[in-house]
Amino acid sequence: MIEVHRVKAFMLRHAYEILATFDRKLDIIFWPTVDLLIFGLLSVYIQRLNVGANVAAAIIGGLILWSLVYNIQRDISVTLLEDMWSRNLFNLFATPLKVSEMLMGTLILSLLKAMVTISFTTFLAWQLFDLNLLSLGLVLAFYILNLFVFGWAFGCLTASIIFRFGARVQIFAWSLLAVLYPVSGVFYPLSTLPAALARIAQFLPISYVFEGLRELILYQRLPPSSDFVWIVVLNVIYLAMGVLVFVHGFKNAKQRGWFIHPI
Amino acid sequence: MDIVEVKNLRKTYSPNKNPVHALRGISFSVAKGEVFGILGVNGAGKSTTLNILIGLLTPTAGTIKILGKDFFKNEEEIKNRMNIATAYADLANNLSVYRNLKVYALMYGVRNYEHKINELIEIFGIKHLKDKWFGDLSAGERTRLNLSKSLINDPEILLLDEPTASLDPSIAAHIRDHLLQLQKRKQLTIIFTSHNMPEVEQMCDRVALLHQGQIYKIDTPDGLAASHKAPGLEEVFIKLARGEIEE
Repeated sequence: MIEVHRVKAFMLRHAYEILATFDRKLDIIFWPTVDLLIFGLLSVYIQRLNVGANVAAAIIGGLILWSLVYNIQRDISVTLLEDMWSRNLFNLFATPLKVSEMLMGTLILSLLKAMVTISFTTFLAWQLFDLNLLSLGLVLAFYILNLFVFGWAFGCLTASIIFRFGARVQIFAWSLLAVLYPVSGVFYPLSTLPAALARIAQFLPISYVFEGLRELILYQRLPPSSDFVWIVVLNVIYLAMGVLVFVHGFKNAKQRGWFIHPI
Repeated sequence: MDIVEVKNLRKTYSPNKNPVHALRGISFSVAKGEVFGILGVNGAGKSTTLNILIGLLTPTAGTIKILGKDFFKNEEEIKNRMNIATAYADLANNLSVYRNLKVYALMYGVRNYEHKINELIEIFGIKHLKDKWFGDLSAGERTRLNLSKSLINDPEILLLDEPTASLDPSIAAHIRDHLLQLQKRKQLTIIFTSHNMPEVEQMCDRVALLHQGQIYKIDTPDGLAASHKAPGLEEVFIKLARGEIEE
């Protein structure tokens, strides 16, 4: 059974880390704002080249949602790395803290942080670029929820790689999701992808999210309902796989004594 | 009554490729309120034993009963009633002394943690460091904070892995006195590793001598010295380390 006080303690440990460190605060507001400004201004410029549809809005919307999924997956592995860098993992897992409680605490914290980021960037996009993402209504909520789930699944995978290979692969914490950047159709339709990459995109729930978002912004029409089903089905599979890999990685790390010497 | 019972505990790293046998089937038991020392040269298996007992390392074979229950089936409940302080781990670098202790107090579900934290930092002489970050503390201050953390949940069993390694002699003596007082007052059971032989002689009721992953002998510090015709534990330890004792 999950004990709420331990989940709370784990979250508090990392909330204190955010309060204490400048760079963790930058992750929540500053860098997403910089990205939004760069891509937003570039999009406005493209729009001025007499492009018919509202391409700027589609690019800005894609960017905001991509930042969301990217930040969530990174948060999960950075949370683990912070305790590894501090040599605090030993003491943490000497307590009755269970892997499920650690995971739950990490997921809730990443959710709260991402909510702050997306609220801020959505507000900024509305003020600076006249893009009101909230006008997309419930579909946007569905997309955001599914981006969270995919970010968590991918974050679990990244964390399990860190369990296995330690500090040697810490760069993965930031860069692994970038592998999916080109095939997710964040800024361009999936039809522009070469055939081989398009086949990969079919198996990524986020590619349906970004495609659907573009449909809504550019043509004000809903994507086919089968897309919504695919998003949910694929996400359930990815999340189940992510959690399994995470739990397996945790058990394996315990057998190898990784929590004692996490290098 | 035995509060810790370890039977035939084995730990082999990389069992399939270049196996390293850290523990080769050790057995011992510790009574409630006893201070039990585990001695041995570096690599003998002392820390491995403690790390298995606190659930950070999965053994290859063997059974552990703690507080009358199978450790691996009741890990959560048992770990709530234990704690550890080790010279080989730290707390969160970017958190203050107080915040670190608060996190661990909540982790163990300690009620009235404010009072408990203030009591511990007073005892260990780090009250003035309450708002200082862990990363800014000296080695000795970190050790004292680690010890405070290890008592945050009023454990019934305390594991100490070289707990006074970086302390000056006067603070180390103060901490030993406090731990012994606690042990007497609350019937605290302590399992202890150290390379400081006078400290082991002062604190431990019984000592297990560990050599190459096996227990060579368990006896009182005086008993070990007497059976090897040595003036103290240090001489026994050196003889064992140099292979001058027949196993």
